[in-house]
Amino acid sequence: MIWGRVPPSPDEILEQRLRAEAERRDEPIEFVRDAVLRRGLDAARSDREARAVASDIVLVTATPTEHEQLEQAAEELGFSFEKIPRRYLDYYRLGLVGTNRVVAIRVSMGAFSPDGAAARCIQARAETQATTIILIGTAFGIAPEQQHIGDVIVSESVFLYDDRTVVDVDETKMSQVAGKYDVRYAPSARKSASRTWHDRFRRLGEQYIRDGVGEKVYVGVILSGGARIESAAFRDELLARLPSMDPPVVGGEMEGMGAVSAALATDPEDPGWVIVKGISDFADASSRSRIKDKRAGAARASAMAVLHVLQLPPRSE
Amino acid sequence: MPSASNKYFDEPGSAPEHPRIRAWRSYKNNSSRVELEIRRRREGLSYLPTSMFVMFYGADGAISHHDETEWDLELDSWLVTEHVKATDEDNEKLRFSLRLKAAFRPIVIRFGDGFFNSVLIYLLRGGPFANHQALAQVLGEIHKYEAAGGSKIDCEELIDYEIKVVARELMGLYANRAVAEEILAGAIAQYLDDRFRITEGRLLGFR
Repeated sequence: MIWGRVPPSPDEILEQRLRAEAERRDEPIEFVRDAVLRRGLDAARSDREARAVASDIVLVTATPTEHEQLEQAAEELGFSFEKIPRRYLDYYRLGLVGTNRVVAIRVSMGAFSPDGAAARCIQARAETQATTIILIGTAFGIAPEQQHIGDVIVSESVFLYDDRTVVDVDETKMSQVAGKYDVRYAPSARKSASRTWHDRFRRLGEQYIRDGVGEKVYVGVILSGGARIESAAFRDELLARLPSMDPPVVGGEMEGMGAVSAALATDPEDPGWVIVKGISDFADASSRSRIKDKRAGAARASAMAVLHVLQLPPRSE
Repeated sequence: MPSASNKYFDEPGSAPEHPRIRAWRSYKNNSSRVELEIRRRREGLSYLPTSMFVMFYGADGAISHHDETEWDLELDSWLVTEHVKATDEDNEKLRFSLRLKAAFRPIVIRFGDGFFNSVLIYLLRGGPFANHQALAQVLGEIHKYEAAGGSKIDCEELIDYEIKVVARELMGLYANRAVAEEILAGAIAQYLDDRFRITEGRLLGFR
């Protein structure tokens, strides 16, 4: 401080900055003051609203049945399901589940629409600061002779089956390839899910066996793509053209690719997502015709599995 | 009479060295100075893969060798033990945020996201860097965290231990403690920004 000169007060500094901004914009200072105040209040409101949905984990459902089953499961296990409407989407706060603050959101089926999984998961992660996204709901199984409706499939990884190049087959090589075209998948088609979480679901599967629970838990590769598959022929052809994978494919669904985009948006090395879905059908005409009766049970199995795992004690205990 | 050699009892040999380290060592032996630069370019909401560039300078001050690869903990750890610094303080902060992420990963796996998040934020808010400008700013942007239920001691101890390891590494690189503290605080701030998506939220207009 120079001797004898009083430093400017915060109000005076603010006034100086507003004046400078008004000069830069060549606008009256009242306009600038008004715009700054408005923006400041908007930011404060956004921050306050975001804090209301602060969470560690976002549960994502797609269909109304999946959402209702999650709500029922939460209530049965003593958790709240308080609706918190926000600017872009509604959140449902379950509160503290185990050691995790959990909210749920519902997105449109598939990953493509503006309110589909990709867009909504990115918004939800940024708004809630959650570090994990768990996709729950229903999926198709791929082995009707081993898997049952209501069994739970968990992603060790997801395989984006639309991420492929389809080429004509040279006539001289047709005998080596099934069909007139060949499908080539890039290595990037397979995305690893969070190891933290699929390990925990493995533990749940072991617990289910010990406790004699009817549903089984299958941890493996989950196919994800834009197609709603109701054809055994298409399903089998899709499976036949996949590269061999370990662990094997355990089922397929439509929203995983969106969650993957959201997770990869920040950290490809540490994917904070996992898919946990109940088998509602086997992607064939016969089981799809009965899906209405089966979807609720499958969605419930998935919701229950997730809420149980979230309450499992950490490994150290 | 014990056998001369028995695979079950013999001491295991040292783990095979990364081939890049062998090459870097030979370059380093003929260099007057080695420098590291970490590159992580933002693309929209995401980042492109993080790369590391290593430059070997000859006695005349010109670059005699250089190498580029995706950031790798093993390679970076070798550079740390060889006292190779990053090009500037900001780059060092980014480098050590990546090292912190790798160090914390097993703790996240062991305790789960929610518990780890709450203990980490609780520790940092009460820790020696709580008033560091960059870190305080990021901590202020993270939604309020209630301490999670259960015993925090194990998790706290592991987090503290990993931060201490990083602090020791920094002191190995920079004898000046004030510089090491500044880098560590900045690295933690960067780690938190990545983990809780502070910049991403800002880009999307949520703060």
